[in-house]
Amino acid sequence: MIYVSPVNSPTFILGKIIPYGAIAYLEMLLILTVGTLWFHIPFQGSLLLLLATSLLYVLVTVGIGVFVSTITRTQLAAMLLSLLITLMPSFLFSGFLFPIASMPYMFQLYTYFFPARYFNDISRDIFLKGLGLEYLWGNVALLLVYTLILFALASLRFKKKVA
Amino acid sequence: MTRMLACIRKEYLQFSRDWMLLLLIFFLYTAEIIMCTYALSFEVRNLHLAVYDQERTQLSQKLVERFTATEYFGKVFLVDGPREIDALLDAGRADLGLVIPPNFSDQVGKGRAAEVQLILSGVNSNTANAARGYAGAIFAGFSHELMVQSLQQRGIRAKLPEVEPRMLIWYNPELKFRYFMVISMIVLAGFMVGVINTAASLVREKETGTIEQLMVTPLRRHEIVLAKLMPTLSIGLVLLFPSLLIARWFGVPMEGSITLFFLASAVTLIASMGIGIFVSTFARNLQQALLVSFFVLFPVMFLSGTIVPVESMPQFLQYLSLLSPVRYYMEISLGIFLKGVGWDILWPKFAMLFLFGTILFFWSLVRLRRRMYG
Repeated sequence: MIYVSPVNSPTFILGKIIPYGAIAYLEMLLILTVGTLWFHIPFQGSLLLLLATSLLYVLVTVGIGVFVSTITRTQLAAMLLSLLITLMPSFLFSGFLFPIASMPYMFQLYTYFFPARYFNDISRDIFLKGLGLEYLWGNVALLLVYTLILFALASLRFKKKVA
Repeated sequence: MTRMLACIRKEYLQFSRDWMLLLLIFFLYTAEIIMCTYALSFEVRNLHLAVYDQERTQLSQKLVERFTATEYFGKVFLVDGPREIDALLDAGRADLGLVIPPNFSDQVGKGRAAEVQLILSGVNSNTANAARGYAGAIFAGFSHELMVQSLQQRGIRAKLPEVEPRMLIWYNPELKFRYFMVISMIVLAGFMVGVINTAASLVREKETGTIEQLMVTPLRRHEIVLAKLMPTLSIGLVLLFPSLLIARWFGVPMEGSITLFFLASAVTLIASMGIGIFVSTFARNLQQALLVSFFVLFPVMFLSGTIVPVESMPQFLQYLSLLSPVRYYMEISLGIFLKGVGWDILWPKFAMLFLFGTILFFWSLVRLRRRMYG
């Protein structure tokens, strides 16, 4: 039904993303509040910068979801795939639990596939070190490129399905 | 019985048709285990050190060499000012900074405490703690050497008293984190497949409306559900074989009884399928099922001791972890693989696992009957 509607594919994908993105962003704000008020995690850096970069991060994560949905046929497979290629590695290969520096070199490169790695660095740098964009631009740029590629791929795959 | 068999056959057929799903489950039991075991460890290695050596004498060089000689320190940046250390720490290119003052050798020569400054990046407290430990040992060794030297220079050849621990490490003599990792990945794979696949297969039937068609057949309700569980149970057990081969490949010892391990795996799978059924009673569609699964999976996973040691949790969470079937499964597996202990020691854990498994399973079944078939 969506295929026959006059909505073009980028618009359609954007429409899918915005509500989920908004929810994810709200959750982020909630965690930020709990982290600072309850756990008393020192906040050294710029709140504005953190809010801006997390918006970008939320976009990436939702983008991955859309992209996964364009490759798998059944919803169950999409579920497991998203578990395997996003959730698990975001926990394990982002530096969140295990230090990246201790990984074999190949796997250090592998960590760059997961946007959580960039945001893990960014948020720690802003939160604990109070760094500004002059230090973070590398990771931020990578996140931005990641987002753009994902959206391009998702729109492209979606078009192919229509054809 | 024949109608039950037919129903089971239908479930296997349906399961085997989704090859993508099969592939993903296989991946979880094999490639995922290999990757994680190969790549992940809490061991801290390859630390980057920024050195601001204000003296640049033989002695200060020697101290720096002490760091680089170990496998724990990788890159060393030699810098010309304290600001450069700040910059390297800020950029995350260095994990710790060492400042050697200009009067270092002088102080050592006079037999005074020569102060050096060590700056640690505490962004990851685990890494910082390890780095502190390594650095502490290096400084102690270096001081000891200086002390012996200075005594010798004064013509004192007396032996210094020392306490030398003779350590014996049981169960994992080389302290390989890999052993632990392989086992915890196998444990988690079974748990995740058990929960997600069960929840999904039940909800799918609900979502497509085919549950009504099944209901009007002469099949009993429990027969429908039990048939649904068969593929998950069998794939969960069959895929343990490749996982065990991988464990062998990583050199994990298998000291105990394989039969006992399979028994524990089967009970845990049933417990996780119970959680899966429980999840399915909350979800109306697959999307909800997935989210509710994650909601349940993560606490159980983190409280199980597979990733974060139970001992380092707050007391309250330690008690809570006693409710997690995965915790017992993990302890049993570690016991069987590494310690080679048998039924006589593991039976209380088996009893708990069995107890929680059956309670979870039947409680979920009761809930399912009420919610789904009302």
